[in-house]
Amino acid sequence: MDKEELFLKIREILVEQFDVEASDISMDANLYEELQIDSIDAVDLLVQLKEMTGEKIAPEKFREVRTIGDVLNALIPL
Amino acid sequence: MKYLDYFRRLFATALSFAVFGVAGLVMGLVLFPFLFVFIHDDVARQVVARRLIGRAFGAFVWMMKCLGVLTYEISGQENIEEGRNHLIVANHPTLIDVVFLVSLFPHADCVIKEAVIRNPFMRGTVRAANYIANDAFEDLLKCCVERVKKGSSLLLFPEGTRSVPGRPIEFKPGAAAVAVRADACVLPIAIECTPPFLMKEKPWYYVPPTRPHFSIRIMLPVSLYDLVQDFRNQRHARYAMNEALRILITSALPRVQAANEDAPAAVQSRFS
Repeated sequence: MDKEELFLKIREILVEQFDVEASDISMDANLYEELQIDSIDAVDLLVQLKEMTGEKIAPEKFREVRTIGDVLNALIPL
Repeated sequence: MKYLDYFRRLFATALSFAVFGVAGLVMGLVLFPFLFVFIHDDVARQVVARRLIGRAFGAFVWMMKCLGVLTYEISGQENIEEGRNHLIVANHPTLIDVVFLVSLFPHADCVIKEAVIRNPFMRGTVRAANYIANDAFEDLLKCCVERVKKGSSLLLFPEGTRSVPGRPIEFKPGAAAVAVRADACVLPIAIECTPPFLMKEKPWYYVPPTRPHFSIRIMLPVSLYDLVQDFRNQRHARYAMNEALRILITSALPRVQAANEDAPAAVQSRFS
């Protein structure tokens, strides 16, 4: 799965499950401040992404994640 | 006379912490490692370890009362339903809240900071009691939900850390998430310490001018369905539950409630 596909997938999850407006979603959107995601949502999102990609993000790495771009970078190493 | 009382309480507080440290060390390094030698069944060991910890914490609280460090009153014990597991949710004004609550609910699961588990002096104790580690965050939520579903009681402080006196209380979403996902019977507990003592941002040797009094109020157990009407989806239920629990516990804390009213929109919920 490449970054583009993953981005679309994350957008789908955010819109369908977390009541986020599709127009608010961009690579630079801050999950916690702009998209009103809380830590439990973040864990739920992570569990679903893990199921799709098989990639597990280390807890200390996930704590640093702020934007959707950060999530993608954590899941798909450059 | 006033100074004499102050210095006596300061000395008694220091003595209490010294006793706590030494007793903790002996239990962690000698007593609990021995439990592993003599009790091979994990469940049996957990039961014995938690009973010992509960007794030790009870003795510690009693000692502090006898030494004149504090006074306390515990009310609402009749609200604990025998033979039922609870998700015990309390506010967190002081360093020793957990000592009171573990002495009251020795069988309950607790979530322990990773740093404590790695501390060689405490590791034996925490391992024997089989408490939950807060290291892997997604596993933490799953583990809490599973244990409550299996019939354990679980003790959580949703503030995540001690409250700051005079500031409104805010709850992190984890406890409400466990309540919703495990469909738990929640036992709310309101803890108040007047004047503030062992609070956040103050060292242990900050002893207030008058003897602190702890009031621990065990409230009526509540379920998700008692508190929440909004079941559009699990997420909405969780937000509503978190806010309802915060309001419920705050309502039993007159001083915190006053702080809430002074605070402007800072504590407005996001889902209003």
